[in-house]
Amino acid sequence: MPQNADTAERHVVLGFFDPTTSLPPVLDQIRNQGIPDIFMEILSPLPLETALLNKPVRIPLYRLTIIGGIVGIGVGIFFAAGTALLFPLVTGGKPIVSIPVVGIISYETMMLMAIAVTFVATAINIAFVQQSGLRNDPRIDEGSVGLSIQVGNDTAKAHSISRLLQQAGASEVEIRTIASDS
Amino acid sequence: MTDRPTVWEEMPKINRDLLAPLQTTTWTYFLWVGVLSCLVAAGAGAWTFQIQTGIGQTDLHHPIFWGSYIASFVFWIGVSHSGTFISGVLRLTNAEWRRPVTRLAELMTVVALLVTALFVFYHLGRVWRFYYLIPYPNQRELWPNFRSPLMWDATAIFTYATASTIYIYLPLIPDFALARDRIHGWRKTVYRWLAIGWHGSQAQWRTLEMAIRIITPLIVMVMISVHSIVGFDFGMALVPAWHSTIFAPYFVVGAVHSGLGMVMIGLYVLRKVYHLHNYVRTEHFEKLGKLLLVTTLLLAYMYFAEQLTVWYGKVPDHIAVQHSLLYGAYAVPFWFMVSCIYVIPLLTLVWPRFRQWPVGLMIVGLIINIGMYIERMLIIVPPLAHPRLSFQWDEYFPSLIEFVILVGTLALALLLYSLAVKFVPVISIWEEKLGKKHAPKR
Repeated sequence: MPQNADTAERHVVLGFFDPTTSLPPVLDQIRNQGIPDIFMEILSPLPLETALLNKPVRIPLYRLTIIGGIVGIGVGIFFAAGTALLFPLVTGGKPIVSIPVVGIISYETMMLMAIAVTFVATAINIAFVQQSGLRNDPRIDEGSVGLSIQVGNDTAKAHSISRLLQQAGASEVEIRTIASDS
Repeated sequence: MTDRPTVWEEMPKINRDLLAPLQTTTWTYFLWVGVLSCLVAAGAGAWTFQIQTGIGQTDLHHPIFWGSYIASFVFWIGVSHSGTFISGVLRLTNAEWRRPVTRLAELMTVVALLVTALFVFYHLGRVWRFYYLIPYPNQRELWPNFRSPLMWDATAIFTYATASTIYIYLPLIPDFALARDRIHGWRKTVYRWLAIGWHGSQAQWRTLEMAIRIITPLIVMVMISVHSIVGFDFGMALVPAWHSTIFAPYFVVGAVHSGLGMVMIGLYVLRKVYHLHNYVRTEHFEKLGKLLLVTTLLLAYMYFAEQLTVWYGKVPDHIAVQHSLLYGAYAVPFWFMVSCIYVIPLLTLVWPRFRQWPVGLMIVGLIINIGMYIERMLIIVPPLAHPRLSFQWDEYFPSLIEFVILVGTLALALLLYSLAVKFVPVISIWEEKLGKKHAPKR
């Protein structure tokens, strides 16, 4: 296990590569060192076309959107039909609950809740997805691709991974030591 | 092999170029902001005076209770469609050329929506009662009446404003992170908050791309619904010349028409002021010009269909309004409007060479927006001025207070946009890089 909960500090190895470098062989070599994909991360200024790391997705975002939309329909029905029934005032001889109105209001609240829930889930994902030790590096935005590997408190392994990255063609390699959260 | 530098090599330059407007400010900018602030102050003063002395300061009177404020409300809602249309529809259709245009159009959407909301408040006789629109029961347990199209409006615009803000914010996150690492002072702290810990990991990119992919079709659907509902405000009323099924689609197309015209103006001005010629190229103007030609034809077709139906039917109440437009009290603004939004765009935009002339397209955008504002006034005022009982017929022209408020609000929109340009990269930096990466190699 690269992570040890009892330790006071952890190491993160960060290598910077030229974007033309083929990363899959490098990732395979790191996996061969016993480090699973969840302890690796690729940093880049642009989204990569193919997912190089196998990381489980906890809840697909679209499911939350659908849940938000369904809740929104409920809110809309409450506003357009529920509030009319709470105070059943007949106006112009028309029915208390107007189905087209319920449709229009529910549509808007459905969209509102679906978009709002998607946004909140996205913001949480972006803000809290970060591995410990990962932070933005201006070199990434200038056109490098970063490969970050968490190696727990194993200093020897950190150096071994660092050498591996250098051999794989990393232009720069850093070992960052981070105080453990535990 | 190609001699052209790859997008990776170009990245430092792209970062520098597109962050430059945030980092350098000239004295002309401060002068511009100063002038706009004075106009905003004048508008605020006029509104304060109107609140103190009452809505009677306007020329609104029986039977014309809707005038310049509601026309402005409809106009600015229309302008707000620029961002959603350009960004949303073009993103959905995977149009690569959209990339330098989307952000400045999305900014227009947010600014226009803020301004739109103000017109609701201007129009309220007792603005301090604005909370009547918020859905909660009063002391008699009576809720707002959702059967009224005005409540549909309130719901739709709240949805649209929230969704548009989210829609502009999400693609901004990577750019905020970029600015966070390169801009100092108080803005750095703000960018740090807004970047919410972005570091460009693939997990973050995946989440962001998925969110944009989900929200884009939703916001396009909201965009269509919002202006349809604004159209329903009129179409649902049994007022001659309003009670028509065409209003909802007509309003949507009209909104896109004026929004595109406004984008054309913004695109030209920002390109010139911030030297963005390498990013906003003639091809972008040309493609927007083609879109504008499509909306011109579509809008003209709808307007013609509506007017022809009224003319052929000869229903007295409706034909009275049409006569006032064609050769009555409103003939001058009507024919001016027809020239501005149909004739001039059609005669110019059909020429391929004209579509490659940015100055010309900017002028057409300006003319279209002047025409669209008059068109909004002509939708609202002539029908209200010609109620069924002819002894009630009347006329309306905005009062001085209304004019000052309108000018002040226009200045506020320009001021907000000018300030936003100093805080937000006007071209989406990461999307521009992505576009260059996808561009075919020559």
